[in-house]
Amino acid sequence: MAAPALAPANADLDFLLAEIAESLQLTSDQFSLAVQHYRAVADWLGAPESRLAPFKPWIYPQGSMALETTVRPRSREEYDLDLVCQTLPTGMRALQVYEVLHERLRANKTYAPMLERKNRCVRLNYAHNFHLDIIPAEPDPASGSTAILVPDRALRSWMASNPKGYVAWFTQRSQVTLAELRKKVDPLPRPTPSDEKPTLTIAVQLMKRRRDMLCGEDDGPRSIVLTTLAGECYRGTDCVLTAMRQVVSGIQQRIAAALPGRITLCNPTNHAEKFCESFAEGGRYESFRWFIDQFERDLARIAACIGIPELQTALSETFGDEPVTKAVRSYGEVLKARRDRNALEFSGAGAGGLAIVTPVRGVTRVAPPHRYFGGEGDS
Amino acid sequence: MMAVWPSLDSKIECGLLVVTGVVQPSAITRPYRVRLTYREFGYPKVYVLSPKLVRRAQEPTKPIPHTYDDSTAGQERPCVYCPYGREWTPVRPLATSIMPWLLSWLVDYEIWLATGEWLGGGVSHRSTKTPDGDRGQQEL
Repeated sequence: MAAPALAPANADLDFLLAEIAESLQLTSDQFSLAVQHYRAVADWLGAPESRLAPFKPWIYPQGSMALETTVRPRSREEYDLDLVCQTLPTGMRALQVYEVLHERLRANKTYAPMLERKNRCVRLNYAHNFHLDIIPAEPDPASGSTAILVPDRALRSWMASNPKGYVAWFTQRSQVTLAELRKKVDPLPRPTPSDEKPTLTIAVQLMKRRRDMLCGEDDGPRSIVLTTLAGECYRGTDCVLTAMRQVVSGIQQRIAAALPGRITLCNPTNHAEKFCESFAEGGRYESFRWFIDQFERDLARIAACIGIPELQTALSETFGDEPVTKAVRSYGEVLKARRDRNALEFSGAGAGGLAIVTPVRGVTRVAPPHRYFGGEGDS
Repeated sequence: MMAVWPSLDSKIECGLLVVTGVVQPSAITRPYRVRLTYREFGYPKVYVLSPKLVRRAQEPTKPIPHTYDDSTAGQERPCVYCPYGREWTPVRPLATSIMPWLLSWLVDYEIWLATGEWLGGGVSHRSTKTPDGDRGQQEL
């Protein structure tokens, strides 16, 4: 499939998309609660009487909270925080390390009834639609740097991973640098306001949201798959709509090139960790291909809209009514605020225009303050 | 007017200034063909020629906010400033006041069409005549 013609750079549309993404992030209450639980677990695991204490457990987030690509689950689905509990080499076998972690959590009367064993992590199920997945890990001596080994219960052995490396890779792909993490307990990045968020991050949030709208939990592409493919196919544009269209086009090319087989996808910082394993589950790859094609149609529709009512309809049908209505409302508020502050620039060149978000070309002037009149006004 | 809005057609006929042309209020709105008229010692009036202003499909009995002649669908024209304040006086150039106010009104109108909310603020005058009253109608 040929690369799509790029939509004209339109900062007003990007503003709406960024606002939609921001309103889909975890709420600050949800975020604060996650931080609270994270700190409490880290304290318990690192306490002097913990069997892990001699191995200096280092707890850090991975997944969407570390990447700042959180998307609130729809209706009653749960949200989660993925934590890595990395220790110095213990000399224990993979499954022993898993059991030591499980045992330490079970020794806490509050955590004991919340525990659930998963293939690689120990899960703590909290009451309010939230769970914490804690993955035990040790450094990977063969790969060095931030690469780790995590126990896999089904395979009864260590598996390669590199979540810190992944975060660094994704961040570099979005051309933003993270500050050095110094503490033993890494602080969760605070959710970034939309006007500071990198384009790639917003694009990933919106893709995940569309995936949530279209697919069930067990048949859509996994978030790590979407995030990695997006990072690999992104070509560095500032425009959110263009970024998403580039990513979709890139994925379609890779799918076509892999036929009749499936695409392969690894952690870019640790090729032993294969993210494409999930495609082997029945129907999942076909569902992924369908999702990508549908998302391409969604984006083409959005790019072709003329006028705010048509655009609102297309955006709502793609991402949901609530975040889109909020975004359009924000746009109106930006206009009003500029007018009231005597800061609304305009130009009469060409078809003229107001600089609500996108700057206007030609000689610009500032519109004097005014109020509408007539009919059913209300201030 | 012609200096600031070079692609609009401006002419004066019998003492009436008529400015007509296409404007695109913002990067995500539709383009609109609009008209501004002004007679010396009168009040400037603005009209949206096409696409015609419409009411919300979801609420067809609700008039468009901040319009004159809003009781008849298809007859509305935007009220872009408060005539009883000092927002516009004849010393203010139309090109740098009425025109951008009209563009701003069109953005708020599209947002209202989409969401049902009028976010642009403004002042109501349900029971007051339009400025110029009948004179305005005769000039049309």
